[in-house]
Amino acid sequence: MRKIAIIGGGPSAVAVFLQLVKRKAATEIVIFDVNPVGFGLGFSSHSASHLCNTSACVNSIDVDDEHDFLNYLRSNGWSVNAEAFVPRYVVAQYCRERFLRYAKCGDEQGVRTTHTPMIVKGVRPHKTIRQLEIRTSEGSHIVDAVVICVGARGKADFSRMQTDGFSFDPAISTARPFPAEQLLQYARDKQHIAIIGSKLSAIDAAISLCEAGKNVTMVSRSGHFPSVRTRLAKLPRNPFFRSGEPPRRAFDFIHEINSVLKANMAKASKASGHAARSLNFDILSAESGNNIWQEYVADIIDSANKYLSEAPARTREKIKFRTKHLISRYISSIPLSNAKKLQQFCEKGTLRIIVGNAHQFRRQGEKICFGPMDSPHYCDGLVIADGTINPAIRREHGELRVSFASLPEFHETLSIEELNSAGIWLSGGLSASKFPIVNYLKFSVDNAKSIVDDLIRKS
Amino acid sequence: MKVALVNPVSSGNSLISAFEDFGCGILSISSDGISLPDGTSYQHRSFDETLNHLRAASVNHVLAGSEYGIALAEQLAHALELPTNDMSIQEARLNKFSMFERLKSEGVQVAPFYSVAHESQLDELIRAGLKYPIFIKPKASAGTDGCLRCENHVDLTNAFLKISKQRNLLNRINSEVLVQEYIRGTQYIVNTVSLGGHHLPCEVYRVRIDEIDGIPVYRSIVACDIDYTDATIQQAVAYVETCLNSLGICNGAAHTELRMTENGPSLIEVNSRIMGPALYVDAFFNAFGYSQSSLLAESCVHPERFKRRFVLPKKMKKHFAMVYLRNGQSGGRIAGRSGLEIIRRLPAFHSLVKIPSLGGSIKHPLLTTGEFGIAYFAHHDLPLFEHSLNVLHALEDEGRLYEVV
Repeated sequence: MRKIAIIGGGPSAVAVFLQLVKRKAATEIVIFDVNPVGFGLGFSSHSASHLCNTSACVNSIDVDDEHDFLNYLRSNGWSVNAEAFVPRYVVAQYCRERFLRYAKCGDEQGVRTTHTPMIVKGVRPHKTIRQLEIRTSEGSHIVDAVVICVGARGKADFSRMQTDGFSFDPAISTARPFPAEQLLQYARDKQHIAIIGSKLSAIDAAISLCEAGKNVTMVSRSGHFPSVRTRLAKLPRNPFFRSGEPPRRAFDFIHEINSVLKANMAKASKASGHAARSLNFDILSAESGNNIWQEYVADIIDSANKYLSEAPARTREKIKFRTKHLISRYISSIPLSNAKKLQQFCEKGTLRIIVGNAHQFRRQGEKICFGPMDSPHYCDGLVIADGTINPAIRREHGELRVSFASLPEFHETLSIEELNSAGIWLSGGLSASKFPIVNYLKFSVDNAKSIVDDLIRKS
Repeated sequence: MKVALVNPVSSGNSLISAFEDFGCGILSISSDGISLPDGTSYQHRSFDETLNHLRAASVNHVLAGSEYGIALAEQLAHALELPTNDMSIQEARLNKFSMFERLKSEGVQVAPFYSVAHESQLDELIRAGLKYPIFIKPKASAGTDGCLRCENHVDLTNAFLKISKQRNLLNRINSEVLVQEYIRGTQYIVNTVSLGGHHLPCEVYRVRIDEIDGIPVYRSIVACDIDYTDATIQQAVAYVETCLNSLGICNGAAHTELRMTENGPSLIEVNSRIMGPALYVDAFFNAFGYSQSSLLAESCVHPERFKRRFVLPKKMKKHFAMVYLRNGQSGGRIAGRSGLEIIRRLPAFHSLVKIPSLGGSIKHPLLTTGEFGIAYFAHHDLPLFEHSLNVLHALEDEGRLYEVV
């Protein structure tokens, strides 16, 4: 008898669940999530305009079948190639359908699946038996092992905006980028809307609002859009690396990436200084196939997670710092079709992007204003889309808790190895302390296999 | 068996099929300027003439085929001594003001209501303590035609002037309008089929209504668990049964809308007909194993079989929704329907009906008449069902369903 708990119910959790069922690694699986299983934050948008920025070929949640998502799409009548960027809601419905399929499959094999819609307060070793106790809002559950798959959360640090002595209640005066229908409802009686952020969720919000006829100002620290790609796919043998594969040593790896990107960045820098010009350059590069950097992205993510996870924490942090620009501009680049929409809105004058941050926002009467005090910009709505925050594990009163606060002490007190030996595994955003790029579905799917390998080995 | 259907338009078409499935002969009667498509209907000219025609045809039932046929169908059935509703209080079923008066006199909880013929009466009502927001609507019409929510005196006056003395969707002049304090709360629909004074709830729906510029815009109706174990649903069903009894509804279909307020259920209206504006029977069968039309036909053709349903346990096969499609808020000419492909690929999608033709013009984008088409969704998994509905609503809100020029 082996009872395994999965805490969290997003795509990472479904990937683990699939592996547990397929490999008969549990007799009972309990999934704890207050929301239905299968729908995570990353794929929570219902809008057909909000596209994945990863190609369909890397979105399979079945590690044993890399074409699973493509086959799902095709069986539902989608005429898409492997490189296509599909709407995110399709990935969410795919995850849900796969969960239902494998729950049924498990049931036929004698694997019982339960979804427990409760908040998990903490996990601790049981006092008398070699099992784990999961404490929820409504009681305790005893299990043999726990896989924690709690995903990222939208930042909600409104305190940064309560400046300048103005009374400001951002919780009721602002909107989040998703769901799109709530955003549009919020924007219904507004004309000028500011969006804090210029990355993926901010871009989705900008597209939705501009399509609804609103004037949008994006405010971000960079004042630029991410670069543009036509695919994020994994090549069987990447011709851009000298040996066909990324170098195995962390510093060699970074060195090689930087040297490859140098040429592209040199060209891009000529267009920099002006967001729209830079966007036009990136669109032209993508259309003409000159954005060769895009062929590296999948390998960069895989290799970074593979090799850098083995490097000491300080080295990892150093490399992450050195590649920050690379990650924000290239790894988080956007699909060409979305970039062209942004371009159209910029040309039409309904969209602009400026350098700024959340500190600059304040309330003036009925209006929200930002920018210099002597010549502020005004808007009547504000969307907060400045990214997500990964969770971390902390130890408190003898039990482990998931937290979204910054917790450096985690590194000093608990290692992933220590957790594993206690019967606890981490997936998705929670493993950010070890793996540099975790907000990528394929990483979670690959990780799910390693986790279940470990679980089987240690059972 | 022969069945006469008066003005079987919109959802009335599903009644024709339902009776034909039982092998019944159908006699369609058109009146009040309603033209029936097949040209084989009997044209109503005078009551006696139609009565004689039906008597000669030996019809077994006369039923309303739509909102437009209620009054005549009941009168003909009554004259032919066929099962129908209580004719001594027919006015209470046809006129919303009389309906509320009747219910109030029967001790049924209803929101304060007034009949207004002249603009000056509005001031009197406000002085007498009527509070905003106020809802104004024709005493008799269809869909959300002429329904407006008013936040202040200017809104109220404009709304009154907009609908008063105008011709409504039933082709009648709004000589007086119904003015009512706005009823706050979630809206429900209870569809019933009655036989011999007993009422069978066929479906209970929770209604999603968005208000745009004071106009209630029906987005979707989502079926509630049909075993009616939920206390709110039980309360709603019990309230509807009281309303039906008070309004003399003993036989046939009814479609009742109400809101669950802080103080309990409050009626919006009872319509003694099947639900409109269009019913695609197969979608209902997919989710419930029957449709309101099929149950109405069964109650006429096989009453004993129908009566068993009063005591049999109820179980919904799938979660079910009917969506009155929208395309943003603007009208225009339809140049493409590319969004339908997205809808059809959703896991909970069942069917689409009344899809507008290319080149067709959308004049009233906010009116609930199914002008933009109707989508039916059914799925056994609630989260996937709700996800599909959310994707559809997002598509509508973004105006991506149809290309409109």
